[in-house]
Amino acid sequence: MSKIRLGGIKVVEKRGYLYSSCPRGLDPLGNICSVLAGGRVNMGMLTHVADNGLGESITAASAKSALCFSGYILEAADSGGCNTPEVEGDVSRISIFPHDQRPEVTAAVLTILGAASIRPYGFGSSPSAVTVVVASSDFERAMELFFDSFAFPGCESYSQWQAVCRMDEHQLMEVKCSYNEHIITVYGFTSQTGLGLWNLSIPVEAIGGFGAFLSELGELGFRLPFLISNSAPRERVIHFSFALEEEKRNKAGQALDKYLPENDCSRQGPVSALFLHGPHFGDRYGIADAFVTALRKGEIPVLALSCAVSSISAIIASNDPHKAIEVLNSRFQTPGEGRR
Amino acid sequence: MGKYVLIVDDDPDMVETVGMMLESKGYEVGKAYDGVEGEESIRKRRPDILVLDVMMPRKNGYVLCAELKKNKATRSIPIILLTAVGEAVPSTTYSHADGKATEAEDYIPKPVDAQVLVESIERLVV
Repeated sequence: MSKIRLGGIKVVEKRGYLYSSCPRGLDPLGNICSVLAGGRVNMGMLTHVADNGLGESITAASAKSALCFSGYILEAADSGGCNTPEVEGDVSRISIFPHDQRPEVTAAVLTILGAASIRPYGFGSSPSAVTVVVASSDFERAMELFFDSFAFPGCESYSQWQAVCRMDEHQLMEVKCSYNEHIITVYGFTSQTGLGLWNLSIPVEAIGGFGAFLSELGELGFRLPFLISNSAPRERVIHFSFALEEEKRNKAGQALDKYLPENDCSRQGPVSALFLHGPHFGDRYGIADAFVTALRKGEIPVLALSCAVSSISAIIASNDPHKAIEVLNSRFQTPGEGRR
Repeated sequence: MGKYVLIVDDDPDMVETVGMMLESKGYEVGKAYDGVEGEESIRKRRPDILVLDVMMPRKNGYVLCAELKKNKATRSIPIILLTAVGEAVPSTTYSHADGKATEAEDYIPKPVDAQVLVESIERLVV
């Protein structure tokens, strides 16, 4: 099989991972974002689904260490209602890019992880990248498999990547930074309408089948602008939420039934996707909190959310994103605003 | 075909965003994700202008800029340095002074204003 040619791969090793679930309506997202922002914790990744189709709202986050989540865990224990949050102390995040909304990129990741029985804790997506969280004990094997399936310029193998391309911790720390800014400045917002949000829960062992489904979507010419997954560390079930063109829903449904018969998939549409373009989402604490709070105050329900690499992607219930963009523009500053 | 702009930045979302901005203005956009890959891209196809990030793995933007300006074959490629260093980012070791010490034609802080970037490109690409 020929390798899929991509632009690059980035890894962040030895991080903490939080998984929090609540009955639908008791949303953990706002709490997690506000507690972590209050503690000045940078989140390298955050995913959320308001209803996974099984009546649960799930939020997962990755940060420098498991200790970063202690404030939220204490608060969750006090407030009640939600399940006890689960924390994994040693995970690594692997991001590959650019995906160009091609389902076959995520499909290949799922296929190789499934074939090697490597369990992904979570997936996130940004406008350019696909990020997967794996246990650090699976990291090396996962990386070798990534280099078997994808071609990256300048680094042909995992060993070459280790020798030449890997950023050392010092360099990573140097690139990490925090901004002193009263109003958060971002590049801007874009949107995509006419989408359907699909929710699906499958056993971890079935991720290869889900990969085959995405691969077929690629062959059928689908675009995949949004995909997240969450999995409780002590469970063997993985929840996927993804967005596809709503008008092609029948074709997508047929493909899903072919690879995952008797699935429990639910779908909502038409909905739209909002994209906040960074920079430096992962190393500026408080951006996700500002984003989520602004939408909540504007009464814009967030159905699903993914913060990965340097951007935030959100699926909102309305197929008209203008009000949401207006709300976000009142909270964030975009370059050139002062000039206009 | 529009002028060929090569964007070199290790942040793929940033490359995507700036690429979209420039493509919508009619530019042809090339993309590279670190200094070494940027150098290879330049060798394969000489850009009309280079938009270069500073903080990158393998080879940072200041080093690549200095090398290109020393080389007779690449000296005339206009370079815009784009970075998040400066007042807003107190913890980084990179500074505006370092940027100004290079021979880059322009130096724009992130997050870049699309209009400012396009104006800079239009001014430098003649």
